[in-house]
Amino acid sequence: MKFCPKCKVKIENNLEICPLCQRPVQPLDDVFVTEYPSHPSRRRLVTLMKVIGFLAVLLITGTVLLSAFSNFQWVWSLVVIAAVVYLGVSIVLVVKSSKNIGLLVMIQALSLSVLTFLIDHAFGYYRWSINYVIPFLAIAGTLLITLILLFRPMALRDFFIYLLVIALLGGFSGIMLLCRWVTVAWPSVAAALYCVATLAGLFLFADRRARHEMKKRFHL
Amino acid sequence: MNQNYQEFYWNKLDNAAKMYSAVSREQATNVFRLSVQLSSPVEPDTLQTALEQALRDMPSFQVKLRKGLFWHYFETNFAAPRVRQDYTYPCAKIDRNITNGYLFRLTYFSCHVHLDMYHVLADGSGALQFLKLILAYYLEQQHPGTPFAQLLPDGEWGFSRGGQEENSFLHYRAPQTAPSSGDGTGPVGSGALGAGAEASAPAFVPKEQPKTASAIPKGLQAYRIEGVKVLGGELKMITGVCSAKGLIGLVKAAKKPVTAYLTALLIYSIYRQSFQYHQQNRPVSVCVPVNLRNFFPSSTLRNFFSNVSVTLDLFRKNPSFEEILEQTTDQLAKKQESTALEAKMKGNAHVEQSMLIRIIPLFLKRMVLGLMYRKNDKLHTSSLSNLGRIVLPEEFAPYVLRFEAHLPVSPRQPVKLGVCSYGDNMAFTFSCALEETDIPQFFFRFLQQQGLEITIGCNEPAAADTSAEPAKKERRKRRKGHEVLPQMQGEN
Ligand SMILES: [Zn+2]
Repeated sequence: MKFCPKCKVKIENNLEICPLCQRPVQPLDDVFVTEYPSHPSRRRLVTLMKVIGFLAVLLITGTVLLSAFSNFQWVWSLVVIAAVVYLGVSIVLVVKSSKNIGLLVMIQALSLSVLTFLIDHAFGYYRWSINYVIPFLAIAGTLLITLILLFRPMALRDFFIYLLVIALLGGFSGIMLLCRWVTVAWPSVAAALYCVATLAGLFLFADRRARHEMKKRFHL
Repeated sequence: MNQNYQEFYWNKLDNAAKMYSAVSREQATNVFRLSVQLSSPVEPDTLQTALEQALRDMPSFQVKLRKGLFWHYFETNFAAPRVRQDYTYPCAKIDRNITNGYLFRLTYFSCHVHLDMYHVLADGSGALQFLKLILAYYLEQQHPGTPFAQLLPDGEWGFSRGGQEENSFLHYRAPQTAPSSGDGTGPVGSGALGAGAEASAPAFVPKEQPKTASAIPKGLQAYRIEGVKVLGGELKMITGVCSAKGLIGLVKAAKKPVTAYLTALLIYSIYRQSFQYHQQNRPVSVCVPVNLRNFFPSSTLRNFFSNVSVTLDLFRKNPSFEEILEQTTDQLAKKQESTALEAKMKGNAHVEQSMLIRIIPLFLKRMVLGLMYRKNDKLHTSSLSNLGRIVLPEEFAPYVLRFEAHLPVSPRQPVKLGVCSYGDNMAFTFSCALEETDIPQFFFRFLQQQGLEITIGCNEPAAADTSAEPAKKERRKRRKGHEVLPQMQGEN
């Protein structure tokens, strides 16, 4: 114990100055209480997000300036910006969602779809993104999550919503086919079929869990 | 419970939890701490087993928080809970990567057991019952032969899971005759640790805004304590312990309820150390959560409290402590009448039921609720939460020495006070996000001058560590080691 003559209070920690008035204290006895760690960890002030944001600002500014002062085409800088945003988001998500593969797969499938579509659009719109890439992403994503679920049925709780979203991406491919936006039919047909099969299987064979998940995720 | 039950168990959040889950962040963590001092150093393994046993009895704490499209919800957490040595600041954000998804953090340090509870999961009263049960199982292992857990009153945990998780806000909002405790001397706030957010923001229902004694316009910003902020993520804790009997004697002499006396003293400290030098035409307003379990026959472990505010206009007045005490007592008594509480709850529950709010997707809801939380935060200068007298069976007495309640700060309320008493130890814990310590200094000196003997404890590093260079190195090393566990939001 220590004693502060100014505040006239006892101090149970081994301190040199009084926590109330910051003046030196007098020793009373050698019995001290330690309730808290002396060097607790605290929130990091420079986070990964900030570093990535900083780098992204530099890269994007650099690209825009370069394309303004050279014969660069403007499309290029747009593509670079999209790629930088995609990379930044991916890195943050990999770190943040290291425990949930479903979320990772879903975000990658969706953001790669958008990115490739933008690139395709920027370079003449040959439709390779919607013809091949998006259907392929939908199949790959669905397959990946289905495989995990086959080995860990309990994980449906964690993966259900992501499986649903990726499967909807396959459905979207099918819609694009119906609207005649897609010029090569077979990848979209395969994706739509595969995704319908997955959803049908999910709701028929794992019906209780699937319905339960729907109820939880969409409760008002 | 069996696997099937655990797998398909899920539950909605209560009204207050909905708010907290949407608005919590590092600057307003909404994590409070209950701390207990034991007579001997804590054995980590024993504590770990005790925690597992307590979770078995109170499964409503064995949950994790998930996101739905419209609301968050709870579901069974199958991961093992982790007891650790205290490693961070009190009331720091719960890092769910470190806690395995659990919404509380059970840590120990020398003779202390700390339970940091995310307000989404429970309020002070619920957390206290959980902590008591953990203590009981801990002592049972250390001293076989005494059935500590059996000694706890049955009402504390012997209810069905439905009872433990009841959303009592909804249940008791209807006009129902409650036991009359509206005499004002009732058990003020003994249990609720509702610091910061209202059960649902009163901004929804301007009619329910607290009316103040001196006719201050509704919803006016309260006076804000200014000062130099501590470093991000840090928090200064200053605990003063005095004799409970001594304090009761003091309060009895003034013929006022304990909470009213302490609230008045807090307001007086704010006035003397801050307000009087930065006079603003803004009221000093202190938020006092009231445990609604004292007014309604609920046994829920989830949130069930209501915030009552004491608002005093001190601008260009020179009030004495007695005047402040008189007004504070009046306001607390009026606002604690069960009819006033019921009306307030009805308004708040109505908000949760409103279709317009319900169909907004979660991410938009977070923005809307965040705005309301910040607006609501400005209505109060500080908060005082009184857990009241904590009672344990007498068999616990030789092993359990002291309880403390630590409140989280919020951006507009950088200084808050948590109070509880156990045995003859009454502990006042100030949480300060400011470097200045004038307000606790005045508070404790005032009590000292009234003849109480005060013992101060704080989380300043001990003298031996402050100047030593190796300490800094060690801290750097620790921080590096800590990076293995990324401090992020968690999965989902
Ligand atoms: Zn002092």
